[in-house]
Amino acid sequence: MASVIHIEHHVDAMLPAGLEPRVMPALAAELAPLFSERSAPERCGLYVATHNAGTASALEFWADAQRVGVGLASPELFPWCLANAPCGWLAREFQVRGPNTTFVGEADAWFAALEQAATHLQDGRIDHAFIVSLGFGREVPGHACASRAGRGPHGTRVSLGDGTHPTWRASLAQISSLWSNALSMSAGGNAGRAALPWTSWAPQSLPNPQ
Amino acid sequence: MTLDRQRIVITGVGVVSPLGNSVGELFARLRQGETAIRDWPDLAEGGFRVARAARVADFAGEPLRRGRSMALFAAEAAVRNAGVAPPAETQVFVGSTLGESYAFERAAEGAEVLELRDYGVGSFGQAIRARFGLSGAVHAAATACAAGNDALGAALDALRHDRAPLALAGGVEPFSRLALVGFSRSRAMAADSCKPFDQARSGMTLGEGAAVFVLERAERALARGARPLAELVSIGLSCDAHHPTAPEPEGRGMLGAMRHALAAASLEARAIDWVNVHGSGTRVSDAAEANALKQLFGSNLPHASGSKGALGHGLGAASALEAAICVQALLTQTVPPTVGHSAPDAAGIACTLRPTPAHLRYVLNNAFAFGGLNSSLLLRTWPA
Repeated sequence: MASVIHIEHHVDAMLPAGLEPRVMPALAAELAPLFSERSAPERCGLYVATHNAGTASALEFWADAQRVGVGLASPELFPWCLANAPCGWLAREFQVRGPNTTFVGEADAWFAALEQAATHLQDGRIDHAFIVSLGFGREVPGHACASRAGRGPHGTRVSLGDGTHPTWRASLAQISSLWSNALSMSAGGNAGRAALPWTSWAPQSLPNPQ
Repeated sequence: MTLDRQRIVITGVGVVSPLGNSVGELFARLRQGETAIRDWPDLAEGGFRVARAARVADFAGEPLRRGRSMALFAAEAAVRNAGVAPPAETQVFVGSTLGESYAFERAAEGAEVLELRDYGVGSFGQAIRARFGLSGAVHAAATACAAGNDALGAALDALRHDRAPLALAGGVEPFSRLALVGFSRSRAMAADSCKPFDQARSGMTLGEGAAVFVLERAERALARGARPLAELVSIGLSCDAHHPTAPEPEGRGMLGAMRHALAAASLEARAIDWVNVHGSGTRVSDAAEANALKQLFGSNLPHASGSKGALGHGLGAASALEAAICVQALLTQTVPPTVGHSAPDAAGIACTLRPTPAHLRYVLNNAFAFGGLNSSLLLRTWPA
């Protein structure tokens, strides 16, 4: 059975380089417009896809533990070693109390986040889904691509085909870029062209009947 | 008779656990009140302040790929148990907290670990997909200590929405020295051993393991002559949005997750026969869960038991291992004892002290995680 959601708002943002806890305030500032219109906290869900959340913090935490001794390691960075820490941080910052899920991987992670958000919207568990692709860079800038989805009738209508989808070899950054381009083209009235990057199962940006 | 296509069943279970590498052995030893928590000399010699843990002593695996070995062992056992050849379109749902923690530790120590991302949370599902030659998607849930439940819930959704003919789902977590240090330095570890909901509880004890399940639509399972072991009914998810590590003390988010699971199944709380509690053994988490359970059930609390006093806390594998315990308990109609629990504090709840035969139809499997993540998985005996 196909899922249909409406993308109501979309944000692309470059993030400063650095460990996750230092980057989150900048991310929050970029994503704030997404949360300006929304349902009650319990009726909203957060769905994050990331290929490297937690990695840099885990390396730093363990390197510190080796420097000072495992019995003296600073505990402050430990929660950020977990890939779900940014999603939890966003939930606190924007008071999102519905489902809170982080998927790790490349394109598969992004599709998993999108599919779960669509399923929860379709099943009526939530009214708004915030779908966020996150890539952190310790030495180079990171990137975020985030959409607010609802059941409509406003926004770009996206149909998620049924059935299984193939293994995607694209990176999370590539697939996020395709998603952003598709939404951008749709907003410009080029819905047909917007669908071109996607295979048969993938989202197709369609004109909003409203 | 036509069967509701929405009904999803478990037809195979495979585990790697500190109390045995089959679900039968795990449950038998749990019934006997055995615990796998003990002192580990290598941890003491390594300078770790906490040297007690529940590790899988009899499982050999290449250290950098210990989690992958566990994942494959459990997945192969589950598939054998289900008597099925997974079709190519089978999707894989595996949760974990830290992935192959040892690879990250070695990299931080300066060792050359190529392609570190190949050791992350997603690596277990990728390995399972490759092992069975699957083309279906891999969903790698990085939702910390709720990851096993969440992976099963995502698989439930995928099957119900016809996105996959079969799902392999579960949780995997190899032993993590990084987590041992992190939780220890966060003052979350027990002075001796995990004692779920006990008045003398002082924290958690780290564990490890894996549990993988074969899930499919009931009609498909029956059509191929399989014996469903239990039914996966619903999952409730919520987030406290309260604190990076501590739960919301009143248990409102935990309550919300349990209520969502019940509402999705159109059930009242009185239908629940048993709650397999999260029961991490920390003062604050058990207190919050007790508050949530009291708000949901009032004075009619069903059987409550937890297994972290026997298995330790397997992080991303924990709720998957506990779901395996739920399946076996439903099959045997026996609530397992709560190892480590003697008596609750004044505001707490009493857990089962010994194996308890009971008429079990519905069980809630609770899992709560860092970040305020709450999940409650509802399982039902089969046939209902």
